[in-house]
Amino acid sequence: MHRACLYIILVALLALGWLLLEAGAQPSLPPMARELLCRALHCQADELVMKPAEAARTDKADRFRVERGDDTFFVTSAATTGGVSILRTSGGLAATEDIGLSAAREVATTLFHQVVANVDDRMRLISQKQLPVGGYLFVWRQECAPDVATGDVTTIILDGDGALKSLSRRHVMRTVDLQDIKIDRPTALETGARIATKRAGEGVRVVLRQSLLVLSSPLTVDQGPLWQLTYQVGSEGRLPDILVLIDAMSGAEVYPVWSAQPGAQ
Amino acid sequence: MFGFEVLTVPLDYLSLGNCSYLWDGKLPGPPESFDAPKGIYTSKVEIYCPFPMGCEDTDKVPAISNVSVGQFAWDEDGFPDRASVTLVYTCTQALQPCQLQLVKPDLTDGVVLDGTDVLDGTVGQHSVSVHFEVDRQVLGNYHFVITGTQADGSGNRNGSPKPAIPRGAVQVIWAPAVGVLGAGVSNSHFSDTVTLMGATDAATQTHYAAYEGWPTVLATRDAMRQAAVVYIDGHANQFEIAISEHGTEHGHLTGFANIPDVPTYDNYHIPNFPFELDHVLFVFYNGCNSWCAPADGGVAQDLVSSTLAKGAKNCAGFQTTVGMATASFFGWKFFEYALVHGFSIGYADMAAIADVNQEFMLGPDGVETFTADDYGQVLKPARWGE
Repeated sequence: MHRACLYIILVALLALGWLLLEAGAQPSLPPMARELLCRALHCQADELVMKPAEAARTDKADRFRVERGDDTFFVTSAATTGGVSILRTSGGLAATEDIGLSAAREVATTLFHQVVANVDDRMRLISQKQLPVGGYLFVWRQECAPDVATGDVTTIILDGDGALKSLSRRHVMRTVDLQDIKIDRPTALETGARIATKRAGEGVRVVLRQSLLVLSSPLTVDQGPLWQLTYQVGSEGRLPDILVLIDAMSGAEVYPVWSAQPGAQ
Repeated sequence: MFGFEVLTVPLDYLSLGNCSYLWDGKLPGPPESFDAPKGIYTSKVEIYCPFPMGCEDTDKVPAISNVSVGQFAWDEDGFPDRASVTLVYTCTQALQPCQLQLVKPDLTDGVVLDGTDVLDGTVGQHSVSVHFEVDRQVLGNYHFVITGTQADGSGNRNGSPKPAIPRGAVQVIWAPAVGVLGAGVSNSHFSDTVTLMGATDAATQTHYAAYEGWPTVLATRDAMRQAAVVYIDGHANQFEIAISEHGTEHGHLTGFANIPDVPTYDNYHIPNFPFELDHVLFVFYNGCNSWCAPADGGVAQDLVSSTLAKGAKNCAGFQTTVGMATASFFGWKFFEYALVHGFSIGYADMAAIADVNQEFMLGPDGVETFTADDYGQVLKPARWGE
């Protein structure tokens, strides 16, 4: 019995030593980022060579430079929000060939199905545009009702020739069910209008421009449900818009997690 | 040049007469030889004669040591096309002449001003203020190289003075940056962004300026006279970017030509600027949205074109109306990618667009119309030196 215990302790120590050696050998890509990159590139994890990127000064995301063959990627992974962004920094900024929006959409859709497991009909393509920098932008958002987003979003930017330039995905593991939301739309709009009017100043007209319920929003500390309301200000519209955020469970006004002061946007 | 040896080449036997050796610019490994880093190198030839009496000689003598530069400051008398440093050095032998040579980051010759290139070559430690020209489009490592010749060569084999081995030091000069936050523009990322631009870095003492609260167009104009990287977050519509309170006739910066400035209204037009913008590397006009008309929004095209016409190397803005929260978030992330991670303008644009989508879930909300004159431009080397 005594010998068995010693044996177990020895094995545990060896395993710990091996883990420490591995950790010191090279930075490890978070599993979420590794999976997304491998799915996008159709490759195995051991094909990826990681180099640490310099730490960002302004947020808590981990950043890595990853090489695979001749390709280089800049990878950002934010564990708290579930967001991963991949930017291919090799291969030149803009391709000379241009396959057009329609063909690019086909390429992007194929890639989207490749990287997102279990795509269902809640995934909606909400934006498809040609970028001034060159290439094409596609954004899919998961929605469980009109203007109700789960918080799951995928952005794909392709080069003009259809090659991947950027893949960004926020995967929401768990959200509040829509039927459990305590603050309904009319209540949120009423609260939002009151806050926007107060911020705009006396006698200034505010008009709702956009409303969105996000069941898991990265704008809050706890990734909770949030009403995102944007108001146009002034009858001539010559004043900046106002973004109002309301906790969808408590009805309290909240501020973005990166906001320095109440009311700042 | 900094006093450490990088390469020794033994030339086993040289015959009488002129001899030469050509260095291919390679340094030995391990594992393999590689190109020597860009910089300034000097050489010293040592000769040993194998005859019974023996002899040895060198072509240069070690007479300069402990060279350093510090206390960098832009010259207040001229907008920052000139600066000064304190140069400290030691002469272990008397040198006549003793001179300072300035080499710019691109390794071309720089200009030392006010006769401060003539140095005191007496034996001992010296400290001198050196004034020199700064090319604000060639920022990075400025090399200060001291050269000289022995004042007395009587101790040498042929009695002739020998040159001293040159010694030098480097001053890294960053591009001045300016951030201008229009009055009433709600941007909680602005101070973070300005920090990324280096505007709060007092160590380099460059002409940084961050206007918060109630800035004026005149102050913005004067800041642009000094800055290489410019970030203006104001209120934009199809005609101007408003620096002071929006919705009034005051505080407008426009690209209008042939219209006089109106100082009483703090309205200024870029074509009227009493200086060129050819020192400016990059301007980002980040305008909040203005819902004047369906065709409205984005940054006025003549604002961009007049900035470029004045000589700025690159200028950017949005082509459509952008939500204020997303626009400011985009600006923050954009400068992080461009200035911290060294992305080109185009890559920083794409990375920031993706971040906006993850944060706000709205689709790009207008930031996807970010347009620059040169997407390949890289700002980091200019800001951070090498």
